[in-house]
Amino acid sequence: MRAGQQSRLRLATLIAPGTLLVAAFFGCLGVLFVQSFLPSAGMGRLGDGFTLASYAAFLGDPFYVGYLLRSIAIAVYTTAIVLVLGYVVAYHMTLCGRRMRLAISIVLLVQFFTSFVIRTYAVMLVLGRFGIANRTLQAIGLTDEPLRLLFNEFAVATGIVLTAVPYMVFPIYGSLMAIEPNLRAAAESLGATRRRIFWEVVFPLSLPGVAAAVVIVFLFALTSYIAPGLLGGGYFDMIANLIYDKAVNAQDYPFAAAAAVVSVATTLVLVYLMQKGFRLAIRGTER
Amino acid sequence: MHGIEFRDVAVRYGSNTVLHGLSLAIAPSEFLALLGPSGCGKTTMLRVLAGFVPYAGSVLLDGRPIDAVPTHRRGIGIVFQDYALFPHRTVAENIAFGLRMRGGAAAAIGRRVEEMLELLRLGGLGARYPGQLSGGQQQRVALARAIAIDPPVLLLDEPLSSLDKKLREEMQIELRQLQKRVGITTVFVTHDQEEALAMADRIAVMNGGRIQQIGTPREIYARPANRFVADFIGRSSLHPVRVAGDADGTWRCTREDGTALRAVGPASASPGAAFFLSVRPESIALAAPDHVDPALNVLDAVVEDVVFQGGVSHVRVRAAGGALFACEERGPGAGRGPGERVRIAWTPEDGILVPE
Repeated sequence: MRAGQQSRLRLATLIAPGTLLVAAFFGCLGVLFVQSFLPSAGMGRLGDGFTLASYAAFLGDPFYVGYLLRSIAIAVYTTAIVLVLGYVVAYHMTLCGRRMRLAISIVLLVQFFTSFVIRTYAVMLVLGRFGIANRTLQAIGLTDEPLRLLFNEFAVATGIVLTAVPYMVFPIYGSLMAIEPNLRAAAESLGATRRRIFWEVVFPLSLPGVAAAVVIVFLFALTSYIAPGLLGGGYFDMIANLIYDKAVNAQDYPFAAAAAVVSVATTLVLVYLMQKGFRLAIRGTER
Repeated sequence: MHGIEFRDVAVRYGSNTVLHGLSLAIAPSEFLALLGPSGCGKTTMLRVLAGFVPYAGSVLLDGRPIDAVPTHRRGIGIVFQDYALFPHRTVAENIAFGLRMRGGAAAAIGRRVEEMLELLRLGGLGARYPGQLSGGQQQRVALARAIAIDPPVLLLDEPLSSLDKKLREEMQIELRQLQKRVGITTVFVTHDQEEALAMADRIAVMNGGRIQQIGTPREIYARPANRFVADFIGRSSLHPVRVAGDADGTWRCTREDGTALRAVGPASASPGAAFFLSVRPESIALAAPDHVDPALNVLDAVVEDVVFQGGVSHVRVRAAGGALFACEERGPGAGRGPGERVRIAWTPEDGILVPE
């Protein structure tokens, strides 16, 4: 009896912190959800009652919906680019020597653990008027005048791609390493060329890692705030920048909340569809 | 049907030599077992044959060197220890894999797959995934996949080691029958001597990157070529002796303690040469303490321990002078116990002199 109580207590202490975290998270989301249906009384104050005015204002205005669509678009193509880059890096890591693998891991991890602001600022330095990119282009004579590489969609996409690569590499690397080496040997003995071994065996078996990494990177890109903030410089804002602007600068909490709820709902649907797609592709690869 | 020949094949990893210039010919339709402890180089032999590792020397298929042929064009069928079935492909797709790589027509591939499913009693399992099969079924799929491409040689890398004992014995028989029916030249790697003895036409016993002996299972067991083979195959009592002279086609020899024994051995042996005397447990008879027979080697001994195993009892005795002998007694046994005084006896022909 005593022992039972003790273990129950221990279990409770173990579960409590996590439960609190999850509760706080959903509590905040709940508040957001509720606020999105309240009328705004201006100057950050909330009125009483129930209204769909904020949803109508957001969804009814192509200007606002444009932020969301633009964010989805850039998230889709940056994820695709990061997938190719990340896959190549991860695949290379499974083939190269131990030293090279270590070097790549260190570069990726340093990146990974550096603040977004700093990483993004580094991209600014590269793309700036007098940055490495422009100087290189001028040196090889491709352009006389510095190009405007910053404060546009190109800069934002570049920033997202460069900062998202580690999120793509590690899950894919993990699932590539989990492939039995004998499977490649078996395919080879059955007459498969290197190319066919890759497309028939390696790639399909790495799909679980690809699926995980794609969802992570897609969400990372879709919710970008610092990349458009610094690299877009106000010329290319994404949905997170709009929500921040409405909440902090315009102090229109219900509108910001409605925009956030629509974004979250859209994201959930997209991730669900992605998962469904991947599950179809992966069928059978789980043991 | 196709023959294989290894000519002076050596494999080195850095300063570590795994195979020391091996030569070995495998006849068409032969079932050859490469037998040895782990690290003896037997799996490396397979990897050389499959073209997975760089090597010096030459491998010939039907008399033609295949050293320059890459693995994917050697067309050799391999069954891996862990089967290496493609987990994302169905049984039928696994079996069809090699045929697809060769670019056959879909209908022909389908017919061949059906044929394989039937040959290996896998009917009705074509649409399953490997993860849904039992170990024995996975094993048969791996075999079907390897045979489907009609390879000149089939390589089996410890294919039975992950099955339980009963299934393993069933598969030994099944594999052997299949090999005879299809008539495919087969190289079978194993560390399990019973498996090798039961299945192979010939066994190559390997140790330390060298072939210690090659011969039929009977030859290997009855006439071990050296101490390693005598010790590794079956059970054997091994004792250092010196040749003293010859006597009626057998060799007279002496143990360190002066005990004189007679044994058979190489004709090249000469007085003073050092050998090991190898005697199989089933050759040694346990007799009463007063037993005398001048035609046999007879030693006084004391029973050390007895392990009763039903049909047979393993009796270990210590002979005068301290040497231990392993003996066997058939039947329910005389109920011997430790400390009992006995005599052990064996014919000179059952004592074999082997070099170190």
